[in-house]
Amino acid sequence: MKGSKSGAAPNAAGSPAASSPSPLARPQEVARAPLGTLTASKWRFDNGLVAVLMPDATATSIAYTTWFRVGSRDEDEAAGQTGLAHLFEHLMFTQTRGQPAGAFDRAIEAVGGNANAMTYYDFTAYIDNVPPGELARVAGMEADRMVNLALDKRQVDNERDVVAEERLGSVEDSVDGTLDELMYKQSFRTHPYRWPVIGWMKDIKAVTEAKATAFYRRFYNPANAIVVIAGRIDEAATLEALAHAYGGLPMMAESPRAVAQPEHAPAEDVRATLVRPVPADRLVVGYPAPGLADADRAAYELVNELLLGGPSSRIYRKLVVERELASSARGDIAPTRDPGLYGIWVQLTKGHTAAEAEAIIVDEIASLARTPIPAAELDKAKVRLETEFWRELTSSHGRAEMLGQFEIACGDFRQMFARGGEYARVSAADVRAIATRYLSGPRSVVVATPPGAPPAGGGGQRPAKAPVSKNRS
Amino acid sequence: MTPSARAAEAASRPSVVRQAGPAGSLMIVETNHAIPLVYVVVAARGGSSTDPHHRDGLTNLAAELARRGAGGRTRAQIDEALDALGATLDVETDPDSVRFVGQVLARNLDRFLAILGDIVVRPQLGAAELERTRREIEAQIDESRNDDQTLCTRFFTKNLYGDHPYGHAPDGSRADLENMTADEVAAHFRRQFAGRNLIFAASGDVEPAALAAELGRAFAGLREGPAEKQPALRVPVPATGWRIQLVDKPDRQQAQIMFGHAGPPASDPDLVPLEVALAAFGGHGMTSTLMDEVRTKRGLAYGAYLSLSERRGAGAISGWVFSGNEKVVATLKLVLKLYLSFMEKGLDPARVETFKAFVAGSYASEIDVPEHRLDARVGAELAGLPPDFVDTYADRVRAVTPAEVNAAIAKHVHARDLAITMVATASVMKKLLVQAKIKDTAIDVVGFEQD
Repeated sequence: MKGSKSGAAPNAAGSPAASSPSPLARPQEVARAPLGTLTASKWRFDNGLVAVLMPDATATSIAYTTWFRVGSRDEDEAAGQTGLAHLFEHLMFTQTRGQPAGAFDRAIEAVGGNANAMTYYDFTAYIDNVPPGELARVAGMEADRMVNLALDKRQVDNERDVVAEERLGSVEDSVDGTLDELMYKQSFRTHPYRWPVIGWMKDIKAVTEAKATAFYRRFYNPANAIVVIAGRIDEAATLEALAHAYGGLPMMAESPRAVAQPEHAPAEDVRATLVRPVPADRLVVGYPAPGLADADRAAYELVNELLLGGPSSRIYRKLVVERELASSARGDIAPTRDPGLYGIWVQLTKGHTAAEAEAIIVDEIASLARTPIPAAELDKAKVRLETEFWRELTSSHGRAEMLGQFEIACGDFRQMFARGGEYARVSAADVRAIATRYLSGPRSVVVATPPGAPPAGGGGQRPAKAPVSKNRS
Repeated sequence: MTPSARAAEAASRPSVVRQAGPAGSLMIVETNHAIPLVYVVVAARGGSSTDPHHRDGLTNLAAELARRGAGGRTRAQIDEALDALGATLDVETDPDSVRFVGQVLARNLDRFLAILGDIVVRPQLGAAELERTRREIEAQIDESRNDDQTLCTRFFTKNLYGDHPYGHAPDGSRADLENMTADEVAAHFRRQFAGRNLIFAASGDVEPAALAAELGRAFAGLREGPAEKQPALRVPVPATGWRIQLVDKPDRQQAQIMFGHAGPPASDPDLVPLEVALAAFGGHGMTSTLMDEVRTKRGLAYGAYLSLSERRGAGAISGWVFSGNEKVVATLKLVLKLYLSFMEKGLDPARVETFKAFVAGSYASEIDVPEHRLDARVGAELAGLPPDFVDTYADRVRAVTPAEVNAAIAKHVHARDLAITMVATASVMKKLLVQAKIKDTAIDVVGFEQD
C-alpha cells in the first residue's frame, strides 16, 4: 500500500511561528540524556515525526538535519531500480507545489546557509547548516518538501545525467570506489547491501519521473522521518517552530516493506583482481562486522583500534613502519544497521604484493585470537577510542550526524552516549572472542594491480560504488 | 540576519587570548569546555615556499623527520607514547607554513606537550631515519596519484606557477628528495622552528594561563632565532592565452579539469570584494553561476567551482570541474565562456547583495567548530591579515559595495590568460579536443607518473 500525499504544509514560506501550536501538534518528550556539558532530548509528534535536539549556546550556527528511514536497502535490484534512493535525494532540491525550481537552495544560501544531503544503505539524510535565527524558515521549507514535492520530467532527466557523472567520478575512475563496490557485491548473496548505494549505471539511466514519484509517495512522510538539530538553538523555541511547521501534517499509514534477512557475510572466501593504474597493488580485505547497535560493536571497534587504530597499532606498524611494505593501512567498519563489513585497506609500495600484506593481516588477527592482549595495549586502544568519540562531536554538524545515525540504526540516540562506557568495559577475553568469531573465518579480498603485474586470481571484473553518496560538493 | 540576531551573534563570540608565547613566539588560545579535547597547532612561518631551488619538499621532509625521533625517543617510542595518550600528531605543510597539528584529551595535555616540545626543540634528525622518511614520503606521493583530483592539483600548481616558490607540491618531488642531505635537512628545520618564527595555538578544554605554563615547561630551551620578517614573494609570470596541459592517465572515463591564474595576496585591500565576486561565480553554493549553468541547467558535470587561495603571496584563483569524456569539450567551452563573460560584465548590484549575504552568513558555518576558528586565526596571521580579521570578516563582507566588487573583478580576473590542466586518457581526449578545433600545438601531453 502506498502512502497518500497530504495537503500543503502550513507556513511553507517559513515565517516564525506566531502562535502556540494546536494540542494535536504538541510533541511528547520521550528521552533526555546528558553528554558532558551538553544535553540531548527526543520528542515525538502525533503524526509520528520524531525530533532530537542538542542545544549549544557556544555554537555559531545550526545543523538542521532530516533523516528518512529509507536507503538503498529499500530498492528492488531485480526490478532494475538500484540507485533510486540516491537519485531521488537529488530531486528533493527541485520544486514543490508552492515553491518554484531552485527556491530551496536560493532561500538557504541567501541567509548564508548551505544545503547538502547523503544517502546510505539504511537512510537518506538532508543537512542544512544555517546561521542562528534561521531555524523557523528552514523548518517551514523542510516540512514543505517532505510532502509537497512536484517533480518535473526535465529535472529528472537532468539529475540522471548528474548522477551518472557522479558515478563516473566516484566509482569508475576511482580505485577505492571500484574496490569497495566489488567487496560488497561478492560478499553478500541476498542482503540489499550487495548493490551500491549510488546504483548500477544501467539502473541510474533507467530512472523515470514515474518511478521517482512513486518512491516519494511511499517513503517521504512525517512518520518515516527524524529531525535532528544541533547548535545554537533554544529548546522551547525550536519545539514551537517544529510544531508550527510539521504539526499539521497528517499521520500516514506505513507502507509494507520487504524485510531483509541479516546476513553474516561473506559466508565463504571470495576474491577478485582488477587491473588499474596504481603504483603497486592496492588491497582491501573485507570481514563480517556487527551492525551499529549490536552488543559486539564496541568490542569490535576496539579490535580495529588494536589492529589499525594508530601508528603503533599492530598491522599498521608492521606493514608501514617496520617492513615498509605499504604507504598506508587503515580499517573501516561500516556504520550499518544490519551486519555489514569491516574493510582493511592497504596501499602496497612498489616491489611488494597484496599477498604479502594479506599474510601479515591474517597472522596478526590469528595472534589476537590466540594470545591474551596485554593490559597496557588494551588501555591504549580504549583511550584512542575515547578521543575519537569526542572528536566526532566537536561540531554541530558532527553531533547531528552521530545522533541521526544512532537513531536510525538503534532507534535511540542514548546508545551513542553509552558507547563510551561500553569501550571501557571491553576485556581481553572480549577481544579474543571478536577476533575468533568475526575475523578468523571467510574473507572478501579485492586487489587492484598495476598493468603488467601477474594476476593474483579472480576475474578482471569492472564494478563500482561509494558507501555514502553525498549529493553536493 | 536581523540586527538583533547580529547583536546576539556578536555577544556570543568566543573570547580569544593572544599573547607572547615561548621564546618570542605568538600564542593564540580559544577556550571552549563543551568537549574534553584540546586542539593544538605549532605553526612555523614560511612553508614549502622556502624550499631552496632543486630542494622541493625540504620543509615537509624536515618536519616529518623531526616527528620520527626526538628527546631520546625513537619513532616507534613516540608513536607508542602518543597512542597511549589517545593523541594524534600530524605534519601539515602548505606554501606559507609548516605545522605540527594534534588533538588530545584535556587530561593528557601536559604529557602531549612534553612530546611535542621534544620534537620541536630536541629533534634527532638522524641520517638513518632520514632514509626511511624519504622512502615513506616517496611512497605517499606515488599513492596520491591514485586520486585524480589530487593528481590534477599537483600538475596544475606547477603549470600555473612555473618556477615560482608556490610552483611545487609541498611534499616535493622524488628527484629533489633523493638529493637532500641530513645536514641541510637539520639546518632547515632549525631555521624554521625558532621562537620568533612560531605560532603556538590551542582551542578547546584549556585555559590560557595553564597552557602558557605548560608551553613554558615543554618548550624550555627553544631558541628565539632572528627577528626577521619573511621575505616578499615575487609575482608569478602569468600564462599567455589558453594552453592545455593534458596529464595522460590510462582508462579514464571522465576528465578532471583545473583552470586559473595567480590572484592577489591575502593582504590586498581587494581581498573581501574579490571573495564575494568569486563566490557568486563559482563558490561552494548551488546558486553560483558555474553550478547553475554547468550542473543544474545542463547536467554536464556533478560539480563546478572556482575560488581564491588566501596566501601571503599571490594565491591562485582556480576553477575545478569534472565531466565524462564525451561532455568534456562542451563543459570546457562553457566554463571558459562563462569566465570571460564574468570578467567582461562583472556583477549586477542585486547579485552582489545576494552573495554578500551568502558569504557573510556561511562564514558562521565554516568557523562553527573551535578548531576551525583556530585554523582560521592561524591562517590569517600567516597571511599577514589583521588580528581581528576572523572576528570581523562577516562585517567586512557586509560593508562591501557593488563598485568595489566590480573593481576587484576588473583588476584581478584574467580570463584570457589561463593555465589549464586536465587529467584524462590522452589518446581519447586529444582527439576530442582537436576535433573541437583546439590546435594540436596548444596541448602539452605529460605522463601522470611524471615528477
